[in-house]
Amino acid sequence: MNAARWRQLQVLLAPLLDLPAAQQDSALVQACAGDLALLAEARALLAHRDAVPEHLPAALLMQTIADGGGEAWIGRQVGAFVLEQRLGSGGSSTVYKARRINDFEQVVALKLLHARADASLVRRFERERGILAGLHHAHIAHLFDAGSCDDGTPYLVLEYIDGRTWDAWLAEEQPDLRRCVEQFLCIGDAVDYAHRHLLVHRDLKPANILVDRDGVPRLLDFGIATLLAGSDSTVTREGGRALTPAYAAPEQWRGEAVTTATDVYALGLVLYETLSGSHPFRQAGSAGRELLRGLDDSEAVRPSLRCSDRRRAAELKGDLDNIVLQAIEHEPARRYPSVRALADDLRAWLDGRPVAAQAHRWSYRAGKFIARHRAAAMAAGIALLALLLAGGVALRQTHLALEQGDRAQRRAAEVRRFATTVLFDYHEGIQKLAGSLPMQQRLVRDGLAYLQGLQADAGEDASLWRDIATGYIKVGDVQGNPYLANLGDFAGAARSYEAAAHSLARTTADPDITALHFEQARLLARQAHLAHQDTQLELARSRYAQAVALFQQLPGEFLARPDALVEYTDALDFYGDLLSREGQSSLLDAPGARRLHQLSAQLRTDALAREPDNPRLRYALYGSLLREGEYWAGQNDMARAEQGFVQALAAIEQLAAADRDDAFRQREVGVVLTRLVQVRDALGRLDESVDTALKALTLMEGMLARDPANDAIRQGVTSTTGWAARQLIKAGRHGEALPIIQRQIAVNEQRLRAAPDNPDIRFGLSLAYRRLGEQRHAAGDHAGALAAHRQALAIQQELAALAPEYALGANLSLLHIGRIELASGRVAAARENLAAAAQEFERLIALHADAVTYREELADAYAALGDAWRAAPTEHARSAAAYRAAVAIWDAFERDGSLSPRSAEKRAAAAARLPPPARQ
Amino acid sequence: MHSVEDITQQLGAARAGDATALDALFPVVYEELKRLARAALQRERPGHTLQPTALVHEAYLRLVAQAVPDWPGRAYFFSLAASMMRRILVNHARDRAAQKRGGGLAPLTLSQAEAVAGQDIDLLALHEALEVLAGLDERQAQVVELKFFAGLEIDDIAAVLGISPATVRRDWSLARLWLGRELAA
Repeated sequence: MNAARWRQLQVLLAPLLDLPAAQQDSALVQACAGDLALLAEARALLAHRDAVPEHLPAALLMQTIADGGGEAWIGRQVGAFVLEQRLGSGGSSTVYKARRINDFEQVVALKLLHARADASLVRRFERERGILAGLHHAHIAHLFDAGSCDDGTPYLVLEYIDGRTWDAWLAEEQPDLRRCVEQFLCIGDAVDYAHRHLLVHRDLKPANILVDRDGVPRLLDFGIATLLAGSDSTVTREGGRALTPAYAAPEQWRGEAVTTATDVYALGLVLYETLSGSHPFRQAGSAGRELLRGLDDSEAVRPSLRCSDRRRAAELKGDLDNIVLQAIEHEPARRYPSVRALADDLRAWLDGRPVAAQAHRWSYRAGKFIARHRAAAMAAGIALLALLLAGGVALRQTHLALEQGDRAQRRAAEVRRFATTVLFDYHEGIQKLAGSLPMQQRLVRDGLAYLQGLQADAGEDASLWRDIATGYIKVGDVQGNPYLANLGDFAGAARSYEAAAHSLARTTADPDITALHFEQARLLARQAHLAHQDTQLELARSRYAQAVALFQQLPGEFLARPDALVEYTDALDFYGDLLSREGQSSLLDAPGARRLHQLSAQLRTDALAREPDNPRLRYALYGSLLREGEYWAGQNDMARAEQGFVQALAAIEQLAAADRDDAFRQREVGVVLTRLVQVRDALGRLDESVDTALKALTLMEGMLARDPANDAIRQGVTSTTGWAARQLIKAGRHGEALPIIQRQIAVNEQRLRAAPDNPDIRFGLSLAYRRLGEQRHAAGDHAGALAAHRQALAIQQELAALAPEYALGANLSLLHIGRIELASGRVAAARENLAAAAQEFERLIALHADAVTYREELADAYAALGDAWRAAPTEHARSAAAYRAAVAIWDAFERDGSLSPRSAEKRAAAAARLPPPARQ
Repeated sequence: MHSVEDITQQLGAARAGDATALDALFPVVYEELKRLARAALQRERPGHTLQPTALVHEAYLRLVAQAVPDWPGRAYFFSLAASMMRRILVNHARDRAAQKRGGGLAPLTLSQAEAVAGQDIDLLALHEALEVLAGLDERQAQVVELKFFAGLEIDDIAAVLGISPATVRRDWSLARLWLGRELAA
């Protein structure tokens, strides 16, 4: 062909390219206008339109690169085998046919991994090969051995199977539907067998199923994906996931725990393709990314609709459609609970019995829609949700009135499932998102209405009451669980928890006693959180103690489940936090708190060793790292404290980075940064501490901008502004501190409008005024400083009766006021305030022996009082008495080894002002 | 010639028509692509597919973009890299063919376990057909090289060649027909 002819052909063909094949030829004939040679040539071109693939087959590129030394292996000895022939290569390995050298005749498939052989991979091989080699099943290709070559390259020795892949078998044999299902069941049985040996395949796909020369399907590579994926640290695993895109389950994409349900999903996809002839999410020519998008957004089309063979489509419609769709549900919990259950349903179909899989209900679909389109649901979904809930309630009531016995029972179960969908799954999804608060408020309101409706008809159904309780706990969490993303409505949360308690009281006949105790324990822990938040500390203590006792009664295997373990260890932690709360001598039990925290840390560490990628466990362990830092900070060992906080920071930054949507965890990053500010300050690294504080503030403000109504983030902002301002003032940058303090006051006032009586928030506002006072003082504005401290004092005095730390706070304000009066030359006022402060500190410290940390402030008060009397020539005796009292306190610090360099300086200054002994 | 400045300078000269500059540059980009590919393979997890476009873009980032973010020769670099990807792949296919003749090695099929989805294609035949196509319509051959060997998207190819995406699409479809018939023959 010459260039001119090719141009001529192009002109002819170009307009036809987008036509359907059927019209193409007639258009071509017409265009050729009788030029038969041209027509023949054009037809020849069109005949091979797909001979060149759209993309370079990835395998070719892989092989090219992998081949660095690929061929060099032929003829080499690996273990007891010599490599004879290369069978194929992929991204992770090259497979050779190999023959045993001695002993007996044996041909195997030897798989050389492209992985770097680090020590941990080799160790895992040693450990796992025994387990894998113990799998004996007619439909599983046997793994004989695993090891590593002299140069460290790991290898697997597998049974050699002379056969073709599942896909090839399907294409070449064209088996009918029954035969497909029967063969598929062989694979299902193999997977079920392995699951009962506690092994998950996690890389099931047609390429891993070979049909041998006798037509027997054999499954390859059991346990190998697990073996390989485990070789990575958590970090790289999240970066590059070990999965085959077309067959990976949603939880694999999300980097969550892989379970037997993951294999159910992959088997479901294989079944889908086997029955319908096409992959549910793969469009012609779509690349990996589109496939992923398909997995995220779209519900799989019923296999019968994807099937081009009309007769087969009719056979698929109904039961087989339902079976396949149930196997490939997005949420693992909605799939068949086991491969066995999937296989049972397929056998039921073969036998013509009814199958368990059901078509989706409308309500379920709608709930699912909202869950998937989380962001869009913020706007459009609210109305839909309301409609759903209202509709659901009405529907249920009508039906309950009309139906009796079994039908009513069934109806109730269905309604319950619906409620569970809306309240749990879907809330999990939205609660993390910035800006989701209005949606959550709506959810709370409608959820409560819904639960109340359900209560009215619950009768004596114990498990329904338990579900209602679970629902109330969930709603309470959204309203005001102080340790989760919440709406800051603590009173509402208390009411919901109370309703949960009432519901649980109706479940005395619950046959599932473990589930009941678990709910009771969770509820008690939450009620304790609220009591703690509301400074009803004794009540909090007794509830935590009850919760922990209940958790500890649960069976060990139940508590080992990550969700139960997290609830339990959280209760341990928060109980420990309460016991280490300062300013509460009746409760303070530092060693007890430490034991609780260490127990919790140990349980979490052990659980993570079993399930290293579980994000909830990782988050829980972060909590333990944080408390480790807190503990050492409390022990005044700031170097170790810094170490703990730096570890905690790394852990939470990793978690936050893995899920940028998760506002609550982003906020935690700010919390840890704040603790580092304090520790670095104590270590005397002022510049670093200022930088850390500003970093924390920037982070929190960014989060609040994205989610302006979130109280937990507002609280984070007030805390970080406080620290940033404090450090700036300390570093002599009080000018920069002023706008930050104004911001701190504004955000606190905003929080207070939402919860006017909350003592912690009111105290927080008083601390903001104190900061302002310090800033004004540093700027030389004594009048402004006094005004600010007086504002702080007024709030603190109202709170003083509630808890010693508020009383101590008020006293600290007195001390500040006295010092400023002194600095402004109003000596009388200064004396009055300082004497009152010293007296009150003495009283509080005597009353609450654990308020010992305030002895430093007491010494300060005495020293300042000494200064105040020293101004008057006739009052030297009073002045000296005050100085001596201050020096005595610092001396005591020195004796027990806790005298800081700064206190030593202050002591020297006070001692220098004492009159010489001779003149006394 | 190792520094990034040297490389960008050579790229500029090559673009201006200096053939010796291109010769000097070739081994650097070639080695970089091979190195990146091996590194990528080490990183990749089982079942993950390696994309040529990722390699080409990464090579560009490493060799050029670090030093000269807005370098005007970006398009030129990609066409150079595409021809190198082609050369790497074809050389490998040639080596294999030679070994097959000499060592009695089985043809490259993927039967056991690691079969990778996707069509098989005779790269050497494609390479030769592409040479012939270049004689008929050079631009179409370039489109194929960029699309198939460097994995560039239609829009990127349009930018590299300075033509409209619609033209790229048309060239690709027609060249595919032509090559398909050549390969089938």
